[in-house]
Amino acid sequence: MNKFLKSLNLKSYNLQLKQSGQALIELALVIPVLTLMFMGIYLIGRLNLVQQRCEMAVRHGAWLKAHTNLSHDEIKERTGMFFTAFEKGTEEMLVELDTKNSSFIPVDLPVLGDMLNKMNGSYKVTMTYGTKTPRYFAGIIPYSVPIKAECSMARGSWANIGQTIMGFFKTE
Amino acid sequence: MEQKSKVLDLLSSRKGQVLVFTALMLLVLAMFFLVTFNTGRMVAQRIKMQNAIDSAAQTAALWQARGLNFEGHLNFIQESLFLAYFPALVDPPAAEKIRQASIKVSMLQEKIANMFPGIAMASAFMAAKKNGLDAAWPVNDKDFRKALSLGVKKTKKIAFMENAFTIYKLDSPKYWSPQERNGPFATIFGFKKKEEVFGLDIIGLKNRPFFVVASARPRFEKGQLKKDKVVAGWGACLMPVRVFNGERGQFMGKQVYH
Repeated sequence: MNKFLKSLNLKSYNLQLKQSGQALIELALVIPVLTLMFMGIYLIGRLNLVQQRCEMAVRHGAWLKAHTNLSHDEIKERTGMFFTAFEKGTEEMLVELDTKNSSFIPVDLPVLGDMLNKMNGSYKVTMTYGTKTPRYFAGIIPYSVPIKAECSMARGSWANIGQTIMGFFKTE
Repeated sequence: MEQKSKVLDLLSSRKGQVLVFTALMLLVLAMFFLVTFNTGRMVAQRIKMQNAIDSAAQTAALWQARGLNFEGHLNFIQESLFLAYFPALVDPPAAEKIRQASIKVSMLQEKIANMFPGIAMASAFMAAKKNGLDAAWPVNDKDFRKALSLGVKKTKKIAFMENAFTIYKLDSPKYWSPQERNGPFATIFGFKKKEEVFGLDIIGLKNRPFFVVASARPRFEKGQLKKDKVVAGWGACLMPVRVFNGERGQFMGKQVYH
């Protein structure tokens, strides 16, 4: 059959015969790039999801600190519940009294900022979530991508404010 | 004839077809990739900003609540002094002492009513800044002293005494919100410039600030609200966003944004 077609000397059929392997080679060239790209889209989407979830978790933690008397471990446990749907990363949670200077004061007065923070009773919850990327990307992207989120909220009750003030003015 | 055949060859040849298409596809895919990335970042930023402005509104309402609590405690002191005043008139120096004490408490009450809106504004601004906003300001009025007012009014126990035995009560028609009739509230709006956009800016994300708004109010948590005086027992809580014209005392509209 082939011989018969060749004998007819059809131009298009000749061309097809010549190019039979070319598309495959080109595909082989392109596929790694495409794969990386699609994987990248998936991964970045996932990282964004984790980031958003982190923000929510941190807000929840700050709210718990502001409105309840839960200990830091309990707060950590509760905020960790935001990540049960994902594979477990290495999460680190930090609950602390906010010591950042208030930025609306033009002069850098850490003492005044500290006093305002303490009077305000604002607590900062910081979270670092180490997302684990799939192992087959080893060497291309870091295995663990840390995602950070923080939120500070004012505590409702003025519990221990007397101690704070006494500590600030160093009276007994 | 040869030339014609060459042209025909070029037209009919399929060399490089897949490569060209792939290059175009890759461009489009890269664009999609960046759009996904940027949109995700914007959403995260938006969540963060909403958290920040919620925190700011909550803080402002918290300071209002603290002010109302102070007023409540001082009201109690004033009432006690008022009760002690008339029996003490038998001994005029003692009565005078009680009056002087009452005057001091009145001054304190007035100071709290004047100062706490300012502290509320400063704290709200601080909270917004700390959580990453560029600026924050109350919506209801340009003057934060009106917008974050405690909404209290001075009344006198004894008619001819201006600055003694004063009781503060909620100023209902001016500052009480129509919703739930529970007292003053804080609506705060904030903005922030967007983060940098990677690659082509297709949807126009760049150079447009995000705006966020949140409302919070002091809430009376201990039993029934009393109309003739402020009683201690206030806390702060977030609520649906409300816009209110404080000067006219009219309710302009309410919207829930989130």
